[in-house]
Amino acid sequence: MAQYDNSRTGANARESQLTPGRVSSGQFGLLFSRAVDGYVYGLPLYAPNLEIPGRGKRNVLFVVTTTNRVYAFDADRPDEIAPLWSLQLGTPYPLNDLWRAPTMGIQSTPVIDLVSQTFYCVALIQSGQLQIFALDLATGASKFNSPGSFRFPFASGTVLTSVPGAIQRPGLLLSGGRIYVAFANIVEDPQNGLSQEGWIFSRSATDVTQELNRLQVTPTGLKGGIWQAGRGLAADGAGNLFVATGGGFFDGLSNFGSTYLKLSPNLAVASFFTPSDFDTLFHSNLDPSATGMLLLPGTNLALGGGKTGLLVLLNQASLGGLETSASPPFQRWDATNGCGYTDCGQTLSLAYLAGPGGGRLFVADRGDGIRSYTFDGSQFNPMAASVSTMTSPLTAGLSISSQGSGAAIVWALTQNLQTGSDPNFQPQPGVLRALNPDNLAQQYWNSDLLAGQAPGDFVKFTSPVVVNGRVYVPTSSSRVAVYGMTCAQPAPTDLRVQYSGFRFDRATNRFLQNLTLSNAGAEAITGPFYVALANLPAGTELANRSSATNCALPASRPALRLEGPLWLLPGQSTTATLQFAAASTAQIRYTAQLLNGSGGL
Amino acid sequence: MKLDRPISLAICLWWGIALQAASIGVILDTSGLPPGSFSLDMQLLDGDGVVNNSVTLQNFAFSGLTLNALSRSGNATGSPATFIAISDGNPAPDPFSGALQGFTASAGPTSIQLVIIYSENFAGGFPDTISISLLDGSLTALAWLTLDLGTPSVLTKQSGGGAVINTSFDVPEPGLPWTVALGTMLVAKLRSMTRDQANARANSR
Repeated sequence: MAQYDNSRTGANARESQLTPGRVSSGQFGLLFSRAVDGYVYGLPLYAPNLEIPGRGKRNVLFVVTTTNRVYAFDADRPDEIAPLWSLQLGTPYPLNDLWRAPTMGIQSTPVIDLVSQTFYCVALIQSGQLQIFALDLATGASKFNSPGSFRFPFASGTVLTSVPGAIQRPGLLLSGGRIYVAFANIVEDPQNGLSQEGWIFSRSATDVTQELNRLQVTPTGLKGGIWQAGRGLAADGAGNLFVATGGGFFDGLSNFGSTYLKLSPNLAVASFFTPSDFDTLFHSNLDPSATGMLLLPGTNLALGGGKTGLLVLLNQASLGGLETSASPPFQRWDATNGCGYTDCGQTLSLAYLAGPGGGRLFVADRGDGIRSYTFDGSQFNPMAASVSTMTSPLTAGLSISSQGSGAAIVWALTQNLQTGSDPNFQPQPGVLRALNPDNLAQQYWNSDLLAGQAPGDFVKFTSPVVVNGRVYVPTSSSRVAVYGMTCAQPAPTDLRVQYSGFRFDRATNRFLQNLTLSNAGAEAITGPFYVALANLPAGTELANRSSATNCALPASRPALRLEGPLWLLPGQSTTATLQFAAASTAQIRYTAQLLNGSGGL
Repeated sequence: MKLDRPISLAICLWWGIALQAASIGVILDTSGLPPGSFSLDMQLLDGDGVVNNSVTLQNFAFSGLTLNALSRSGNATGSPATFIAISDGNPAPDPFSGALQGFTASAGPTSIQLVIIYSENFAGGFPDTISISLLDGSLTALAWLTLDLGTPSVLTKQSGGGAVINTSFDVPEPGLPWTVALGTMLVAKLRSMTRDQANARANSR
C-alpha cells in the first residue's frame, strides 16, 4: 500500500538488508529495470511469496501506468524481463499535458489485499469513466464483479458518469473490508472555474460494484478536491479515515473545504479541523490537500500540512473543529519554506521514523531542502534537527527504511539539480539518494555518483519503495528502476545452521551432507540463501557448487545457492545437500558462511 | 499399582538391554519394487574425526528376496547371516566403512528387516552417521535412513522408488545420565514394589 501502512508513515521498519554501512560500501547500485509503457504515477507495490501458476513461488512487483496498464513482475530476478502477467484496463483518457503524463489513466497507488489475494486499482478510461478493478494477484483475472464504475450525483440532480479531467491521486485505502477512493476535479459545471469538486467513496472489497457510502466535500459549495499529492488515505485501527481536503467552501455543517477531516468508516464526518484562515486558503489556492495526513504511531496524534509549509498536529479523537483563538491546533509550525500566502504548486512529502521515546519527522518541499523534526512523544521541536544541503526543484519523494529501531536510511527521489529547464513542464532526470537521518547533509549514496546508475526521469508525487533489500523507483521514462546490493551479504545471525553427518553416494562417489538453515529470530529472513565454504582442504571439492564467491567477500570461496524458499519466516527452516568429492570424510573440514540477498555471489 | 513378578522382570530386562546400547528396528517394505537387482547399503561414516562409535546390524530377514553378493569396505565385518559390525574408522584406501548386500526382487510381498544396535559418542563438529540405503541397479539411492550420532541424535527417513522405510521402535538413549538414573530408579522401585507385594501376600496368610 502507499507509504507502507494505513498510518501512512512512509517507513518500512522491517528492512534488514539495507543498512547504512552496506549502502555506503560501494556494493549498492542499480540492479536492473523493468520496462513499462508509460508514466508510473502510482507507487509500485510488492507481494511476497505468491504462487504463480506454472512459475512457482515468486516475490512480485506490481506496477501501474498512466496508460492504464497493470504489470506483475518478478521482483527479484534480473533476467526475467517479461512480466508474469500484464493487463490493459481500457484505453486511457487522452490528456496531453507535459506537466502530467501524456495520458491520464491510472493516477494513484493501488492497494493489495494479501488475505484475499486481490489487487485493486482505479483507472480513468477514454470515455471519461472512472472504474475500479479487482484483479487476482497471481493471474490478473478479474474478480469481485470487477470492474465497477463511479457515478457522481450532485445536489442539482446532475449525475456525472463521465468525468474528463478527473483527478484520482490519493492512494487507495483498504480498511474493514472496504476500498476507499478519493477524487478531485470532478467538474459539474465546466463554465465555472471553481467547479472542481472533491468526493470520496467506499466500495465493498468483495464486490467492487457495490457502493457502500460516499461523501461530497462541498455538496452545496465549490472545490474541496482530495488529491493529497498522491499520499494514501489514512485510517486508524477502528477504521476511521483521516483526509485533507483542498481549498474550498466551508461552513462546518456539510461543506468541508480547506479542512482536515476525520470520517467514520461510513464516511460520516466524525470530527474536523479547519484553519481560521480557511477563506484565504480557498481563494488563494492554498490546499491543505497538498499532502495527506500522517497518524503518528503509538500516539493519538495526526499530522497534516499543505501548500503554506505549515504543519499542524491534531488530536485524532477530536480534531478541534473550526480554529479560533481559543481552540488552536495542538501544535502548528513552519516546517518548510512553503509559499506563504501566494498561490503556488507546493506539495509536501512526509515520512516518520518512530523510535524509543518519540520519533523523527522528515519533510520535503518544492524547491526546498529536506528537514527533520524530533518528536518527544507529545510535541515536535519546531527547530529543524537537520537540513539537507541539496534541494529539489519539484518536491523530493521520501521513504525510510530500518530494521526496527536500528540504524535507518532516509531515501529521497529528487530531480537532478544540474538541469536548468523548467521543472514543471520539461522531463527532468531523477536522482535516488540515501541520506543519513541524523545528518541530512550526509549522503550515504546517490545515483549520480557513477555513470549508468540514474533511475530515469523524475515523476512527481512519487517516492522510492524499499522492501526486501531492494529500492524500487518509479519514473516517467517508461521503467521502474530497481536498486539493491550488488552482492549477497552475510546473513543475519538469527539464521542458524545445523550440520548432518555424511552419507556416501555410491552412484556418484560423493559424500553427501545436509545443512539445515533455520530462522531463530522474530522477523522473516529473505532469500536467496547461499552457503560459502572456507578452509576446505586441498583435494576436497564442493562438487555441486553453484559458483565461487566473486564480489561477495571474501572472494573465491566455493558456494552453493539454495534452491529453496524465498523467505524463511520465524521458526521455518530449509535444507540443502552439499556434495563433496574427497578421499574420506576426514578430508571434509570447512567453515560455512551464510549469505543472503540480491545481487548474487 | 499391582505388578506381577514376571512383568517386573521383563521390564527390568528390557531396561537392562536398553542401557547397554541403543537400538532401532528397521522394516523396509520392498513390495513396491519392480523385479530386478538392488542393494542394501549399510554405512557408518565418521564425522567428528574420532574413532569412537560402532554399529552392529543383526536379525536380518530378507522376505521374498534372493540374496546376491556381499561386499565390504573399511572396518566392516560379518554378513547378514549372523551380523555385520562396522566402526567409524577411515581405513585407507577405502573412503569409508560399510557393507553392500545385493539382492534380487521379484513380484509379491517382500521386505527386509534388521535391528541396528549402536553406540552414541560425539566429539563435536560434524556427527558420525549410520545410514541404511536401498540402491537400484545403478547404485542410486531410492530410499534411506540416516542416524546422526550427534547431540541429540537425529533420525531421518526417506522412502521412495517403491520402498517404504519404517522404524519399528526407538529406544531411549542410554548415554544420557538422566535416563540411566531414571532406569535405575525404576528398577529399584519395581524391586521394592514386588518385595512389598510379596511381604503383603506373606503377611496375609
